Amino acid sequence: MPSAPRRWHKPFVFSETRFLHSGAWWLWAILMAAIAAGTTNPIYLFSIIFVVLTVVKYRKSDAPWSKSIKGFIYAGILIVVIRTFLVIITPDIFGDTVLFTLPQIDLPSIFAGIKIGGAIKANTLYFSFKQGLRFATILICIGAAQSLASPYRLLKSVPAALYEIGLAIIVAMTFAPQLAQDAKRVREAQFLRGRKINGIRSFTKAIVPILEGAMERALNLASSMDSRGYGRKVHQTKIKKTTTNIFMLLGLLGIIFGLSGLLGVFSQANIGLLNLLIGLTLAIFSLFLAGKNASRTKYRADRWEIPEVLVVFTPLVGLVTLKFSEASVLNPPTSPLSLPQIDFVSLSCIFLALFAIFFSPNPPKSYKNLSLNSKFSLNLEKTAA
Amino acid sequence: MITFENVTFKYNDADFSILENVNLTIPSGELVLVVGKTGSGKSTFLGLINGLVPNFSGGNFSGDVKVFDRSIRDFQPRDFADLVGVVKQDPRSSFVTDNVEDEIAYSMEQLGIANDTMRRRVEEVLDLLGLNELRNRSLSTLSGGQRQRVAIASVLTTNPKVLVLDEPTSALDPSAAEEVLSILQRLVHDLGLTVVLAEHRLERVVQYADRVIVIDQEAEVYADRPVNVFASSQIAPPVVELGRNVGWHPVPLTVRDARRFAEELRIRLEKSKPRNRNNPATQKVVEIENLSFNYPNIRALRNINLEINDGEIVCLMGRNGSGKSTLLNQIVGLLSPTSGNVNILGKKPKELTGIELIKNVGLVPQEPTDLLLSDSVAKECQASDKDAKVIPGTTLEIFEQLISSVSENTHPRDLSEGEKLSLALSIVLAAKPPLILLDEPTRGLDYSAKKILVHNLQKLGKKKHTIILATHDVELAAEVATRVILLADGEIVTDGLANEVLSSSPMFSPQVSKVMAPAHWLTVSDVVYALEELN
Repeated sequence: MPSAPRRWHKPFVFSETRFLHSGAWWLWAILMAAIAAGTTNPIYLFSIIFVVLTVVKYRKSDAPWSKSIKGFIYAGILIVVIRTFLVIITPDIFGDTVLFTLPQIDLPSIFAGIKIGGAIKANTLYFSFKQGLRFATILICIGAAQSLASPYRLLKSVPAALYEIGLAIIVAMTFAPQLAQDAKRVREAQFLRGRKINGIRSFTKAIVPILEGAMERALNLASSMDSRGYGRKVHQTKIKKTTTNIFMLLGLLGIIFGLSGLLGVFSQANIGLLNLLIGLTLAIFSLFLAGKNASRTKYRADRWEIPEVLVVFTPLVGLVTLKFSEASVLNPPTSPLSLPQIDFVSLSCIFLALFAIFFSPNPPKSYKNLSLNSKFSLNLEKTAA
Repeated sequence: MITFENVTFKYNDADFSILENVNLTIPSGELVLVVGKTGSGKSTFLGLINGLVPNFSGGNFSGDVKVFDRSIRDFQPRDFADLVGVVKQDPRSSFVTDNVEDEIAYSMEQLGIANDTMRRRVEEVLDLLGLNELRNRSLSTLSGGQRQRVAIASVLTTNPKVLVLDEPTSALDPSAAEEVLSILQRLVHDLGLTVVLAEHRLERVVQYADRVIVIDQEAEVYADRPVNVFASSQIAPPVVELGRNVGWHPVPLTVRDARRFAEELRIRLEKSKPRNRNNPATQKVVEIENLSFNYPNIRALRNINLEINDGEIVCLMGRNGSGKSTLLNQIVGLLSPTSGNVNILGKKPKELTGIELIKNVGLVPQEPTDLLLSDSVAKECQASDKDAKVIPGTTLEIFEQLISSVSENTHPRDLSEGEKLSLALSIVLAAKPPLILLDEPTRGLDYSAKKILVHNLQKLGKKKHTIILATHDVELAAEVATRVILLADGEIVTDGLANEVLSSSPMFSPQVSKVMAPAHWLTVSDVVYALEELN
């Protein structure tokens, strides 16, 4: 369609069609998660979810792995619901707006601090809801990264030293949906044999064939990878390999600590930042070591260019401005109950992350030359069989 | 050049060697077909070419295999990656990445080939196999034929000299199979590749083969020109059998060869007719009215109207993805219609469960192993007796009638494909359902196993069972079908008597009918019977 009207979500900065570097999407998503971690204000959190889902809507590819976001949304909703109703067992928070009172079960003194039932206050409910929503938002950010960047593409950007670990994770990830398919097939087979397909017994009967199938597939994959040259050119001395791995592991741990610091798992953000720096240094150092005798090559690895930089910068503004927002805005008080306040500047800065849509290129279509019908029927027929 | 020197191989838990003292040479640039019954050692033979056997399988190996002077004794399978490309029976099990282009580049990445070279070779291979249109596609969205082509492409980028394929067309519909085979032939002709392939469906591949390696039950292996092999071998495609029975010499290997001889035979049989295989009908078994079914996003079946009587053997045919399996699943009640009605013997299958279901209808799924859940044949049969609430021993008795000489203590996974199918079929038959459905039953079956299946299906048809098969196997349909239904895009395109539908369709006509066209003959046995009648 050469003269189609220009749609608002078309990239206006770089109009080529390619995948954005997977690392860029992951960084973008992690930064969004970091923003979410810094606030419990529902308005802010819903804004973040809105931004993330909008970007996913317009920048995810149409490959199967892109559909994973749905699962994350459902999981998020589940978390909010569960967290909110957990108040029934941990009800004590300052406040006085009692909604209703449940019969209270007193537990023996070893379970001090936990009581089941009792007075349910609106304050507590609100508090739990905010906590749950924050967690759900972070989860949805991670889901967005999964949908925006193919795990396989991410593997390409993974440093050589991590290749094996990355590959293992990815193989495991592709096995999960296959296991689900196998489970469905075995259950159908039990149905065909006239058995009940619910209950523990049918489950235990099904497990053996499913595992056997998985085992067979794993062996098949291993042999085929081997015959395609996997592991062929890794000529490293054992000591060098071990040191690189240790450095890499330390580096990763450092990064994880740092990130969790930033995400507010620890009370002091400074510890997180320091850890992150140390971790990054270690990781880069070991990458350098490992890269020196890299033996594999990468076919059309993702490039890191201006769009990538811009995309990563979009959530940074929000993250920084949020640090300067007032505490009452970021964590609205639960007692007395009141509507959450907003600070116009920081809230609009969150929406700046939407610019990722305009900076990032269009992802290539994978079903381009396919009629709708042949697209799915084959797979479905196979899975249904 | 591939040489086998005094190769003897025995699996660890086997009582006898599967290959014994094999000596042969495969010259470069030939397309070599490996034939033999299931379990005769074809896969073992293929595995030896790049050392997957014994490196991955274990077992007792003596002798030596050399591929262009590289011995599997000195090198690992991965060291053969630039010399031997291996394509497995089901390419899905060997895909490592998730899209076409990456999959094609994978081997080169492992070999550490420079970036610009990789780029160039990927483009070359994409063009060679006609995959350019599909380059960005996710592997899980490909059709069977496309998958097979991607698998071939992905091993070609390392410029191997040998290509090894294990049953490349057994899961494909006839047109997809042709697509794959013509590409293989092109590789042999244009690139001088040596192609070694094992295939049960000889009718599809014999015409392309330069040489045939026969692996006998007695572990004897020999190689010869196809004409010599098929003059006497036990396993042969229908056109060869026809030639042998009618006494043509030399035995024709292709339909084209046979047609040159056939003129005289056609005249001789001008007044004869194929035997009537229809069983008289007494009762409607399946009634389908206006059935439509949608998966999310697509319409899998639209407006199907169908009536099937007892004693009919119906073959559902059509491309991969045309709705055959979906229709079977509707009839057995695994799926319920989006609109319209399905009735079997006046009941709605979706409402039947448990014993009610299996007394009415039984389905043998595409993977018969799905039905097998116990760890020995005997236990499997006992469980089946219990499920069907019949006298203990019934299933085993049926099984022994279908196929003799299988030990009761064998683990179902160790059975051959044909034996697995027979076991699954006997489980289904134990409850004596009037309606039996089979989904793609001949995948992985060799000729003799197929003969047993054909015989059993015909017997069931005579006993007034209704049988519905979904199959790509034209020759199977020619042998058993009384009626053929062609599906395309979820719609019934043709529905008619087997010999009319099969002999008039270019894609789905069996070899005999191609030879005998325009007369409507489908099978060798029909022709032979008619000739005997004349004498």
